[in-house]
Amino acid sequence: MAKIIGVVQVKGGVGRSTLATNLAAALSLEGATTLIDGDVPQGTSASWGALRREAGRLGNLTVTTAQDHVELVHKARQLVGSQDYIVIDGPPRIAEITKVMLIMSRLCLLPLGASAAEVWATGDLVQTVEAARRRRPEIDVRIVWNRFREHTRSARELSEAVHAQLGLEEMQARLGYRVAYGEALGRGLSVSEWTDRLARDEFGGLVAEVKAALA
Amino acid sequence: MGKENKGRTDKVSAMKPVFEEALAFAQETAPGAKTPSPGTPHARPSAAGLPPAIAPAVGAVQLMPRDENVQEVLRSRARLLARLQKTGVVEEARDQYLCFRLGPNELYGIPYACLEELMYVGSIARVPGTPRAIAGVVNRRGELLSVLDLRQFFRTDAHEDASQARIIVVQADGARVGLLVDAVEGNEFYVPARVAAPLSSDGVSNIEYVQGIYEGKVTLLNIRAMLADPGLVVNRSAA
Repeated sequence: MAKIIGVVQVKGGVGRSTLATNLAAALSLEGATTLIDGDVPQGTSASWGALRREAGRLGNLTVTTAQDHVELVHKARQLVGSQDYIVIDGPPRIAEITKVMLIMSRLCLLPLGASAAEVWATGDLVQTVEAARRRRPEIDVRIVWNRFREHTRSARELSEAVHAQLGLEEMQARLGYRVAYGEALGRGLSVSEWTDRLARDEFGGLVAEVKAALA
Repeated sequence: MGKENKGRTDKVSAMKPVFEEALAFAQETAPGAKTPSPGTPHARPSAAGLPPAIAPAVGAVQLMPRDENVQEVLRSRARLLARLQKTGVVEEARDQYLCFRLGPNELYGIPYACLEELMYVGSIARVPGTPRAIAGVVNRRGELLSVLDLRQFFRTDAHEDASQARIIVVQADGARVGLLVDAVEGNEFYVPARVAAPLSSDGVSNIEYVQGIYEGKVTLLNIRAMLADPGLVVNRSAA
């Protein structure tokens, strides 16, 4: 049965699609994987999938879209028996589609950059997570720090502030501020297929952590 | 049906209540909250998503949130920002550098200000009578470009895998040279104030071309000093 992983964040431009596409590409090396882009018509993940299909690189990966929460649940129902992993790239707002993702997903990843604007928006989402946990207490939501500048004081202090105020778990692996993610995404590739070894290594660490969380 | 298939079917059946729960939660309105109206932070502020009667009238004033719940959200955000500012969250001045590798694991960096281009390693023509560190010259869109083999230059360990080798074209003060490296690792940020002075010792060669060491692991090069050395640029030394 498929393990469903949701990538949720209500703010745009924080790396949701970057995380979803790279994760889907990595998990497709382990088994049948479907990436569902729930942010249409923007469709970053779907466009990435189209590039990948043109290059003949899909392999075990299927890329599809969901216009709304009803279609998303319908597709998840159809796919859950045949896939090993379903990765869902959510929309940049608290919509019905975000809410069904919280309930359906075995693991929800919440990409977050070290900026106050992203922390504000995440504060709104935390309330929705709490509401979802009243229905399903086992819901597992974890922050993934993205574009994280380890050496800056602001990043460290924001990380501590978020931990104290949002009360969400964090993944240990942090994604740095690297052009590799954008370069790879624009070519239908994942960072594991790109030349930046540091990006490859850090994302590999995240994938290992995701698999451990799903085990 | 085999046992494995039956097990999978059972697990899929077990997911049914989850899907139903998900749909029910999607319809649930948060306790004490009103249904988000167009213009709240939870709704996409696009005319396309609004009822036809409202869409033509949408403007900046109409998009300002008036709902008391929304205004409370904004006030709490402002309080959070004020707390963050009190804790002294200030970005340090920083620059970007291109990180590359020589040998199996030595990391070097070049400030972006000196960076011009990355090239695949094509045909490098050796130039007789030049030092070993000069790999040769390449034709760069009609321009003769000297290529410096940085591995020879810094006398780093041999590295047999040439598949990721690249030529980094750098420039300073009107001079330009290609640097042959074993692999480009990507871009990084650095804080100039935190660059440590290079350590001088007998085992280090060409230390005058090193700007400093960042975080104890990346050697930042002084490209301006390198390009000021006439012995390292073939077309200059031949003139």
